[in-house]
Amino acid sequence: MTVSEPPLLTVEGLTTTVSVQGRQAHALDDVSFQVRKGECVAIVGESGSGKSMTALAIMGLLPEPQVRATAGSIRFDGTDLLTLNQEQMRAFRGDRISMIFQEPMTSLNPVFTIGHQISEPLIYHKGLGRKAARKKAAQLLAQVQVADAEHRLSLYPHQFSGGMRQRAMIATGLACDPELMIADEPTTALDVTIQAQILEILRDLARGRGMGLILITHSLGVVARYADTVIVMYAGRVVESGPVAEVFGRPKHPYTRGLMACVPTMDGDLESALVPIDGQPSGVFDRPSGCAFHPRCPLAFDRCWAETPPLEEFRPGHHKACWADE
Amino acid sequence: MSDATGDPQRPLVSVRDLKVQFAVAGGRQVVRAVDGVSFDIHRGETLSLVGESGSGKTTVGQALLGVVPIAEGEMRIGDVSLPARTAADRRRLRRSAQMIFQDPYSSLNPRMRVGDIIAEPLRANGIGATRGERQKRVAELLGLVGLPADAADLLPHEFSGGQRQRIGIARAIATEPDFIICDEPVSALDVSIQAQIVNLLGGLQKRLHLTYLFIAHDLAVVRYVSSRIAVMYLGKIVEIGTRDEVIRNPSHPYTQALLAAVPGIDPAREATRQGVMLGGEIPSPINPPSGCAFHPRCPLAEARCSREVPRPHRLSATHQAACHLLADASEPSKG
Repeated sequence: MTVSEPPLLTVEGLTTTVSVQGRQAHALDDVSFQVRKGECVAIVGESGSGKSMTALAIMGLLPEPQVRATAGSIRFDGTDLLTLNQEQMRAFRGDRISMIFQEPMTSLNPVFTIGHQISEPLIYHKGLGRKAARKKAAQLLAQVQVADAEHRLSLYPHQFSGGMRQRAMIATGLACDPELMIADEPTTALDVTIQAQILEILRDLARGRGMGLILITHSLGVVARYADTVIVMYAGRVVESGPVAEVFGRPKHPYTRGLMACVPTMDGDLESALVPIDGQPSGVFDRPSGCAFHPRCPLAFDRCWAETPPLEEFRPGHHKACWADE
Repeated sequence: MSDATGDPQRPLVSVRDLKVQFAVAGGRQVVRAVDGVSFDIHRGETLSLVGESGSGKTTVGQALLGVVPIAEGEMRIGDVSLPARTAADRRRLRRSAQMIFQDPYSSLNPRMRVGDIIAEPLRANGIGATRGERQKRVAELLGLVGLPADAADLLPHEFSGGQRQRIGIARAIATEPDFIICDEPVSALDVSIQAQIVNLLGGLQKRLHLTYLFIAHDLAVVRYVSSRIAVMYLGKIVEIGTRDEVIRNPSHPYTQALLAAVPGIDPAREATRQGVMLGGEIPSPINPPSGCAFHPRCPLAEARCSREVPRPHRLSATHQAACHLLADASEPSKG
């Protein structure tokens, strides 16, 4: 990762509006971050924090018209993806930007062979013939460490194990040699030894090819082991971001600190009980005023429910959105 | 609580050589989901069963609850041998053994009010003569799991995942059971909520003298809740011991690989970690590998590992692991 190059992706002030039965709310609110070549950026947060919606917005896959991007920009190599129509977006999606999902069984088509599905983007985007595409597909499958790749191209998704399906998904995502890959909880459905294999492959591919990788996860351990940069989201906003070593080494936002104190770990002190974060995350339509974390925050004071704190850089590269400054 | 095998106190739960088999492919093949599992659980302790999907850990819990038929083996909960043969035994078992499920969304009837969900096991077991008495008990139970008394009048969808899991726990403890099987009770919850439920289960255990079988794949969670840990692979227990024995001194290569695969949250330590990564995946239990089922993935496997099934090797009074290499270390002439 080189810092001098312009970022591959710059998300700035991204805001999405959800409309349901006449009610409107901001699901994402002023989300900003960057991804550089070869960098693994992890987005962490709980359900409803907006991490998956951020990914869908980048992919141009927001479920419109219920959810629309209403402010901000997503600049990828000089183009604001939010200004593209579906036709133009298709030229990026699956080619220069690809995405893999949590549940490979629902994102692979059960009636086509694995080989067919890996070949498809190569035929559509790169104009390869069937034969050439199949040859490339075998290479890709071998690259994600599926043994006997040639033979397995003829199999259907149900004949693969969960881990192999996820590898096949990654192979599909890699087919066109994308500059940016978004992996949305790619290992949540998998066992821990398979998780380690898959994440290792993804990180090595990012570093080896200079591919930007956005890793969406709820696991702080996955972030600590595999990511370079972390973005902590809560209730649709970025509450803290920066290099992983910096953010986890000196967490500043009370939510980040709370998460780190409540997560069971392999090295934490067993004598002291886990310190849970009180309360529950809020829904899109019942977001608290001001800083949405204030009802659960041990440091909250008057200002926190009156005004929303902006995301500010307080140490080089380390950002937080919090009024408290003890 | 004591882990000593010679404890004069009889274990609350005892499982010996349990085998559970399922017929597949129209009866032409057999899946040995649980293939000769033995363990005891003492009063007041938590035994965790860990392993990857397909290891058989959930099936062991189901066998204890009588949900799946047992092919071979003996099981006992309290004084009742399983499967319970008389109606009286079944009644006692329903009262004394309960279960907490993984998914708090699908394990609560969406049309029943929370009060009725929690009162159901009371009614079914003839606890509380009148509706009024049961309501009083429901209010008490809601308090125990940290929910307000007026939660009784609401429907499950009005609660978040963590609150629903509390409802499931209130239902499980309603009949004052001795033994609760917790099947992945926190894995569907958000991280900030997991700690609430882990702490709640721990608090209730102390207060109500509960004994838990905790089935989970998340070793970090398991580390916090367990007195002892049993590691399963392809239907067998490959290692069992006290929490510290298994976590600090893992002796089976599979346990070692499993522990190495769990990422910690300290980035500095993660950056320097040079763990041996386990390749491959858990094989199909329909056609398990010969000898030690772990041998195709084991970095230390020798020729013998593919031929002979390793027997449990005693490492201490409380710690056992089934690996040929361990037997070598102390009994070089064996074989």
